[in-house]
Amino acid sequence: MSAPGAEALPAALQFEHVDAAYGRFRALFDVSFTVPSGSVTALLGPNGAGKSTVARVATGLVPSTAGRILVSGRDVTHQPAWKITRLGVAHAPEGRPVFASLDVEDNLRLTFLSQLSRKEAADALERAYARFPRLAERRSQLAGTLSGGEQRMLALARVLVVPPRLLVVDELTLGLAPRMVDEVYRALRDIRDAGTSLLVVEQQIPRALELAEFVLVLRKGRLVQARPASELSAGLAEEILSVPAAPVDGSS
Amino acid sequence: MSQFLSYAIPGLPYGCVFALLGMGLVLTYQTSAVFNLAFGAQAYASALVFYVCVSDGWPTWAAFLVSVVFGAPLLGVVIDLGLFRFVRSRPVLVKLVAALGLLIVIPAVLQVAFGTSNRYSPPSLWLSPSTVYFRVLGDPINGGELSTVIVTAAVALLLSLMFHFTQTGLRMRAMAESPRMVQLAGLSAERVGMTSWMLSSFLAGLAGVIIAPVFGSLQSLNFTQLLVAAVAAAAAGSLVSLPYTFLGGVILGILEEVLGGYLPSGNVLSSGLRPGFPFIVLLALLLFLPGLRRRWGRTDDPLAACDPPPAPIASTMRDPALYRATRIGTTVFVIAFVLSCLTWITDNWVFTLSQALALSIVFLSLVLLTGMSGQISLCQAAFAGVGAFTAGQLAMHFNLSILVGIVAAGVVAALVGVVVALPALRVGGLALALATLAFGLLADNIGFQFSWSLNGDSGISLPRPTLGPINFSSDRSFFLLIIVVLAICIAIVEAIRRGTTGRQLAALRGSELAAASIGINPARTKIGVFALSAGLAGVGGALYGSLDSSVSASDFNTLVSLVFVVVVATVGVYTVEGAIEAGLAYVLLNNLVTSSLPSSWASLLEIVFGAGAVVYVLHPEGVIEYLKRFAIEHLVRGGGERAEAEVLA
Repeated sequence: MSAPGAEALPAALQFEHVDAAYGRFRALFDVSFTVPSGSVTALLGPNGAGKSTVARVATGLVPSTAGRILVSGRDVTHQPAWKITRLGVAHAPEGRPVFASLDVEDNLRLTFLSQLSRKEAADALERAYARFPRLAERRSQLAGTLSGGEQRMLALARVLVVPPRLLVVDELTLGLAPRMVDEVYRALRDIRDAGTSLLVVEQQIPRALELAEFVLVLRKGRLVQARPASELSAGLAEEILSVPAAPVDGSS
Repeated sequence: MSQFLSYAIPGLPYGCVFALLGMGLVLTYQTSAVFNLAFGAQAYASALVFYVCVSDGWPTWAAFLVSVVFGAPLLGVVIDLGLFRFVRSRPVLVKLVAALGLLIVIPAVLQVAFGTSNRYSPPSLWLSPSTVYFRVLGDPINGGELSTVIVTAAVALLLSLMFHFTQTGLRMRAMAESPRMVQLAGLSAERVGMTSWMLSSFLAGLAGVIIAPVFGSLQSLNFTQLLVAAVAAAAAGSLVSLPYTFLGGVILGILEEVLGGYLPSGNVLSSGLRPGFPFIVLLALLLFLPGLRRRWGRTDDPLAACDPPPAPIASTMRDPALYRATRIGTTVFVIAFVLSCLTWITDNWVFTLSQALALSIVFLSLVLLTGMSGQISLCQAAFAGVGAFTAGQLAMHFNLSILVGIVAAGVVAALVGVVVALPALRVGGLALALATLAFGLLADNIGFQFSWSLNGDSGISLPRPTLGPINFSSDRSFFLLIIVVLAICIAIVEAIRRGTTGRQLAALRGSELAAASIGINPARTKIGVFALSAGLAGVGGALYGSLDSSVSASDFNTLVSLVFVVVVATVGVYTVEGAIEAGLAYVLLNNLVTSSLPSSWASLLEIVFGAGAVVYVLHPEGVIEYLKRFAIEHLVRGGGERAEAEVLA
């Protein structure tokens, strides 16, 4: 898929015929797509389609077994996760995207200090607190004791203050109250406006379509749709997701 | 008061060493989530290298550089690169077995490298122990004590500052929770992990060199025992807090000396209580520190889902035709085996095979406990010992037939098992492992020394049984008896696996919370299985003793327990046949090493099984199980193409 207007810059993320597996279990089959630079791409699909796997493969948490992965035009196929992160890829994983056993400030410092000088990091910390006063109130509280919404704010605060080139967000709104979902999307919008490309894994299709310019649909580990969001009516999206996940092959 | 102090002050240096080791344990546990049972072995390694260098005429500082400053961190790097890097996100059991493998391998390799000669009066590191520097309330303080206290205090302070206030410390703390999240923060988890391994190994080496002069001669077992004290210290710090661990270690050391001072000397209780004391403290901490229980049960890497799911057991993949063929083959083989043993196989071999099968019963107890219920016990040999002395003493004093004794052995061992498991039960996993390790050491030092139990190293004798007119005194007839008992034990284990209890155990292994939510009482089920497993070990021990006709405490010491776990885990802990294969492998290899290799190779067996534990990390289903599955996939199914086609959610 080629994105109009993205020819000038290399794509933020590009998958070329990528396969991935967990041990003996294949999770992705020949997945190819691009996330054009500066765009928001939503990755949709029913449960078990492989959405999280795409996110994990993109940041090197799960190794690909075939194909190539490019970040801003650079081949990162077999790079470890921390090197990919240093190329400017941030990943907010599913579930609890923070260190529960560290306090709020240590969570932020850990990320900032790995990217910035000591002085810049202190500065970044102040900006993060300015953007999320709630986190400032709880700076010495263990992140594990924050509410689910606050934890996700903390994860986004790290990204907002030092914008990466590409942010991969894995179901960041799962289990949140509608008001917190709004807040998460506001933060995502801010991150996009700061020039970061986004790959958003999402189950709340309408919310994703509000933000996304491009839509990818996965089913059973294969990419079945890749098109601009404007071409994807809400009805069609519902239809895509209403197809139940294929039963796991039980004949063995 | 002054008497109290005169006991307490010499305890301070001991306490300092416990504290050093305890802090090292906490550090490794915090950063790599591995509870490094091989820590004592690492301390031993440095102490040994230091000893060898000094006795070769090196200056002390050079020996210290080689053994502690460079050698110890290097060992840390090696075990990180070679082993622990691969277990980070594995279950507690895998990590423990890996550490156990190391605990067994390190001293064995050192024995091959430096010989097995006795090394008396290890040299001291810094100030001479024979110089008295000053007196506190009239008690002389010598250089050894002084240097221990100074070094420990300095290291403890630096370490705490580093851990809590520097960037390196922050990274290490983050590692404890999730190496993958550390990666996502743009940091190499490998590098952070290696740093912490170097640091903790340095602590182990330092502690080893400092404590060495306390022992009359350098022996690896001394250092293993030291570990229990270190574990108790770490428990005092709830496995998190370095300052509390430090305090816990110091207090433990002082209490131990005070206790030793007030107890009458010369009897088994007082000579054994000192090594046993940390066990009691550990159990008390387990019972009374609720925060500790929470810590030890945890597995909370939010990215754990990135790991591939555990491999299924080969038997679930067999196709029916193959299964039938295997069954027929096995039956024919077993019949042929028994007939051969009764006819043409020589007496020596019948005896050896009987040993293997008696041990298989003990190993079966591990299959039940570890394979089926996911718990780990590091004192199965002690339970076997309990069984052996129960049967032996009953025969000796009440003239009871060993056949009755075997049943009694099972019952008594099961009861002891209940007592051991109760405090650790609610947590399971690591706490149970440590409680059983401590119990094993307590049994070594106190329990098995009494004349009413195994009578120490002099041992007790067990007659061969008679059943009415049938006399089992010949090796061949006894072999038959062992086969029958083994068959009964297998039938019991199989019945449990197929019955309700087995399903409950499988549920508990999957998720304790989910199991509890459908009305399974985890505590009761687990304790039942633990007791049954202890009982099986007792039966096996009694049979083994009766076969050998005499047993002593050294047959069932803690090292034996550790080797048992490693052997069974390596060969295959998930299947009943795994226990039998493990028994055969253990006895046959042992026979091979002791009978046909020079004595300097005596530690080869330990190295083999220790290396097996490393294999276990890669293939937790066991070596033989792995080979079987490999065969099934590649010979029968043609390259496992169907497996390839499976899609995971």
